[in-house]
Amino acid sequence: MNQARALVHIYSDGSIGVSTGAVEMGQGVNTKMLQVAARVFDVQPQRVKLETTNTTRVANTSPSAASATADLNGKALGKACTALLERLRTCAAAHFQVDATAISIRQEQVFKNGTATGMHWEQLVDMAFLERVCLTENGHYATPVIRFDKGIEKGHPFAYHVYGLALITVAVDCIRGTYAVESVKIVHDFGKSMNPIVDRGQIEGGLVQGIGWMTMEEVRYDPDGRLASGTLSTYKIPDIYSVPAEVVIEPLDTPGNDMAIFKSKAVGEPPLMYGLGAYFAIQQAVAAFNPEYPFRFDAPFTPEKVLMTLYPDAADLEQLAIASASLENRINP
Amino acid sequence: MKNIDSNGHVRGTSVYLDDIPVIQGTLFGLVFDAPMAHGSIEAVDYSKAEALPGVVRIFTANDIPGENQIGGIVPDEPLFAEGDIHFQGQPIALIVAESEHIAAKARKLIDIRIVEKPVITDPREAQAKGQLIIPPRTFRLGDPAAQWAKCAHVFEGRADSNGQEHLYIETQGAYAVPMENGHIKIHSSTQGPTAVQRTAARVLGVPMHKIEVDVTRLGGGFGGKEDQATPWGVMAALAAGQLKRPVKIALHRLDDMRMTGKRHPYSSDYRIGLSTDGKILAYEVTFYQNAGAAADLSPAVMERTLFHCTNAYFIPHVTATAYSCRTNLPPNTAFRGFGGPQGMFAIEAALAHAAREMGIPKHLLQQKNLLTEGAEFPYGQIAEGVEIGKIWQTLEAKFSIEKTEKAVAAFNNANAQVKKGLPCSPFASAFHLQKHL
Repeated sequence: MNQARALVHIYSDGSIGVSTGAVEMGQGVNTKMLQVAARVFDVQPQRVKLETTNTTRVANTSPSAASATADLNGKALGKACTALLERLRTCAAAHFQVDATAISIRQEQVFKNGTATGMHWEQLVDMAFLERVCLTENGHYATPVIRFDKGIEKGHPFAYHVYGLALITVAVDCIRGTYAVESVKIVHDFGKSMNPIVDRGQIEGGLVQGIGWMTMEEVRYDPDGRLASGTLSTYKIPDIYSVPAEVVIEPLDTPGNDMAIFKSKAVGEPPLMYGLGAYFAIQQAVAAFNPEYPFRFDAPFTPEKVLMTLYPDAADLEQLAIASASLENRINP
Repeated sequence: MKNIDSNGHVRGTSVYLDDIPVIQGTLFGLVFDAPMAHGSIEAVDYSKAEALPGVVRIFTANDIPGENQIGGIVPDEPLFAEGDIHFQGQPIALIVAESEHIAAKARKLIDIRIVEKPVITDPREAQAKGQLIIPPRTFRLGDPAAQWAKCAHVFEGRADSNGQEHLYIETQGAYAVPMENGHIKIHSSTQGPTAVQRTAARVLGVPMHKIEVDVTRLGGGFGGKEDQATPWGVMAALAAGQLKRPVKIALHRLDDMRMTGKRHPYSSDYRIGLSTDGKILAYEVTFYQNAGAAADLSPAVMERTLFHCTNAYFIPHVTATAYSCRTNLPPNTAFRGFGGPQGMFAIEAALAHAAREMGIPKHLLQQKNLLTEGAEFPYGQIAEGVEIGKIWQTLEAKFSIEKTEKAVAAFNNANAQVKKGLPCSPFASAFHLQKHL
């Protein structure tokens, strides 16, 4: 664990193949891996292809989990690409009869002491191949610093922390017990996001999944251990209609943390925590209607539970049915 | 930069497990699972199912050449049940047939006799009966016991959070193809290719280099395919290896929901002590984690709960104890947040409780106790690069909590039937610790 490897091939036509231990599951990790390779080599993204995750190319992988996939694999990939870049610069330096430190590659052009040489990335790769330079590299990364002693339950188990804050407004229909998350305002610590579109997607998805866990998603087992919520008609997850009407995400202005890939912090799991606010918001709304409501903490706060909490007496529920019929068209939170 | 998969996803050309072109001669696997949650298997009669035309073979624990064991952290989970069953949905056999349809017909023809045993679904009951996955663990900072007398306010209560179904759009599955010299290639919808490889090698009794695992992409995982993608990959490899034909298993949604574990439900007891001005002086919490019938990743999830028990707050005196309780539910597993959210729910509940009793807005209590630079977490790490204070200020400046609060109060005064609620949801979430496996 806490380690990753990457395998990079530069093909003789200048195109690049990247294999890592990262598994793409919709979170956009392959996009981030592509960005790492394209940024280190300073080539067009189209030159880079992400290969499948395969145990014969990258062995002994850590699972893609714990929000650490982009960090670990990205750092390993960065190391492999940097090593290859050094080799290419050395090759170019020999060709131009200068020190390797005088060579740089910017936007697919080879520069000598800051001046364009006219040599292109493809020519450089072709020359290196003919010079029999190895154009394949393996990168390995292990997170430094972290340690934990289970004997005393103390240590420094984490490379860094991610922080965030959400302000959530929920409206509860106190006739029906239904509710809607009206607005979520977030300030999130991305560090220096390397891909704001992908990261925003993770925040929005995590938020909604967290709200689902706290509100409508109810796993139920019978006392004899049989799953009673085992179908999509008995287990409801948030759909487009239950997504908050307004989601504002403000990135925190921060220098970021070097333990994260390009200072771009882990973003997979943290936003789920924003959803916790939905439970407590509903609770506040219920208390505004029924001041006698004794706070209970028993998530999820399903509409059924909300209704029973608003009207603790069954007699009230009969009244409710009458009121509900007459107010049918007037309430629309 | 846009997600490089966006075009393929929108046009439907991205390749998931079920999109891999099927090789001629491929067989299809379907899992026969436990119909009840706890009992001992007296007899299983496969004869009628085996006689159905198109059924090629039914694999059980007796057909495993290596170890009948898939447990990653703790070796306590068989691939196929032998003797006893411990949860509804526990795999007992794999039916391999010429089509999924035939396999589904065959499954209905299997007769099983089970002597039922008492079922435990409640983690507190399991803990009381000593049914623990691993010994309990306790994180300590300072000495809460010495603080209660000094606290102006002490509140106790219980906070329960339920499980959560992963509901990845692509269900669990694997496609195993026999190659030359006993090598097997497994296409798997897994977050952990190495876990599939290692476990397949263990069950098949071959070195890891005989097993190749390839993953193009997953249609969602959320933690549900970190450990629990493994059995299907192993079953497909077992059948492919013995039948010398490709074998594909793609779980039907209902089978997936029944057979796989979910987010861990937690039941927790908290005790929180505060000063007159709302500073948290002490916090005690006991977590009862509903682990289900086998360890899976539960010990690591439990550890994560302890790490996050004080969320984004500094509390000088903390005792947090966690029990991983063995029940007769499918083994619960990783799910986005990995135990952290359950720990945070308990402290947020304690704060909501305190705020209500003290008659002050919860956000004032939250703000007053935010983590600061150099503060110590209950696990000994010193907080560095703390951003939560700055985040709070940024949110206040951009969106004004106080103004929003006033607007909500005004709305609630003016409306009898619709009420609004407004809470803040801060967190500190930590990264780079994967100790499991």
